[in-house]
Amino acid sequence: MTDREVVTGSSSRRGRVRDFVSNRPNPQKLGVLGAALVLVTAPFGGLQSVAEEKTQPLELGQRIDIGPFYVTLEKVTQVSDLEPAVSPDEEGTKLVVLKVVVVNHSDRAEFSNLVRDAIGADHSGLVPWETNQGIPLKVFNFDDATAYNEYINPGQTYTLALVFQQDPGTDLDLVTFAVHGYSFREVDPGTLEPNTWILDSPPLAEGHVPIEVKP
Amino acid sequence: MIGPRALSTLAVVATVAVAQQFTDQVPVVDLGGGGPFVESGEVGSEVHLSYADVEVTDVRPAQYLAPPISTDLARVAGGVWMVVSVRLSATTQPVRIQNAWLVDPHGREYMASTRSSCALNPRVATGVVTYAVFCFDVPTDRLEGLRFRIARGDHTVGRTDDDDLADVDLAVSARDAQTWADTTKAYLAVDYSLEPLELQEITLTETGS
Repeated sequence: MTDREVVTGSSSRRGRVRDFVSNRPNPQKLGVLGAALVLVTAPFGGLQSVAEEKTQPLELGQRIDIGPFYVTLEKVTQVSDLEPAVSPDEEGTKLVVLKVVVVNHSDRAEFSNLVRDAIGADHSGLVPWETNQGIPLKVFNFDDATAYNEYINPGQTYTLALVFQQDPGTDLDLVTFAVHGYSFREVDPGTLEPNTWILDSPPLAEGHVPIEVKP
Repeated sequence: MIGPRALSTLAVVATVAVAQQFTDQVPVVDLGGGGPFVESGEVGSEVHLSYADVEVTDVRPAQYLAPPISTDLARVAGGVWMVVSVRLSATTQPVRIQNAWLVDPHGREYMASTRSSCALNPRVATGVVTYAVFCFDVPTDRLEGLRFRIARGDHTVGRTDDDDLADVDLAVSARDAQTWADTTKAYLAVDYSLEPLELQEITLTETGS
């Protein structure tokens, strides 16, 4: 009788499993652990496929669903002034106006800042505003030229002008814009605030669009 | 054969399951979250809340609202401005009204406008009537059947649960909704005051731009 023959059946099975696991290389162990974790989280959505969000080329007139709003970039214009709504901080600095149509297609009032914060730009020649330097875009109601910073009620449509200051030497052919989407979070685990929208990355649409220049 | 350790584990799981069933059926600890206590009313009748009395005295549509400074630009509605005049008085201690909003027959909610220069969160004194005007920008096809709601808890972050909330039927009929959608009226915006507020209809002039 050998030593192996005197151990109980259950101990033998456990020992073989332990030996098998200990003889696996670390990458295999980690892989199995990861798979086990996914299975454990299956009841909470662990096996749900991750939606592949591909960034689309940005075009004028393209309606983009950013979450609570449909956003359509209708026109981009470079101007020297936009009175009576806003003027550049310093003479000579240009203003770039993004004319967007915004529709709240949800059942709740949502704040207009979500539109402002969904827009990004690259090679824009941005010149920060003297006030609120961390916020590059000022928002105005296109129909009455007044500042717009409030709830957009459900079903409501607004045409907004998003305005940033631009260095006059900027090459307009290199400017690209991006439109990001949001994911809804019912309760923010950090603040316990309900009904928050989290900005997604990468953008839903990105690219160069023609910029009309007006004196 | 099931060992003692397995039996202990099963016993723990069974106990937790039974406890879960029990706490699901019996509200051992009531943490609230039961929704607001809605006190309903109509235009022209007072709604009594535990902390304030509320009466909607007037509702009218507008296309434009002009801010108090006459040189400032008027605000045009994206849909229709619903201008709601309200009398408020606190019952036992001063109260800050955090929100007023409208709700349509489908349960969609329309928040009061900040850019309108109308009232947002008035402070209401005890036993003294405060007159407030709230303005809402509502799509033209959603005017019928709107109700006005007001509460001291912040509705935007779900703080109206387990507290009184006034809910007033604005009596906007289908016929009203049809004519109100085409309004061209312009009023001077007002917020709130201890003096009765009268809405002043105005004529707008175009700027040179």
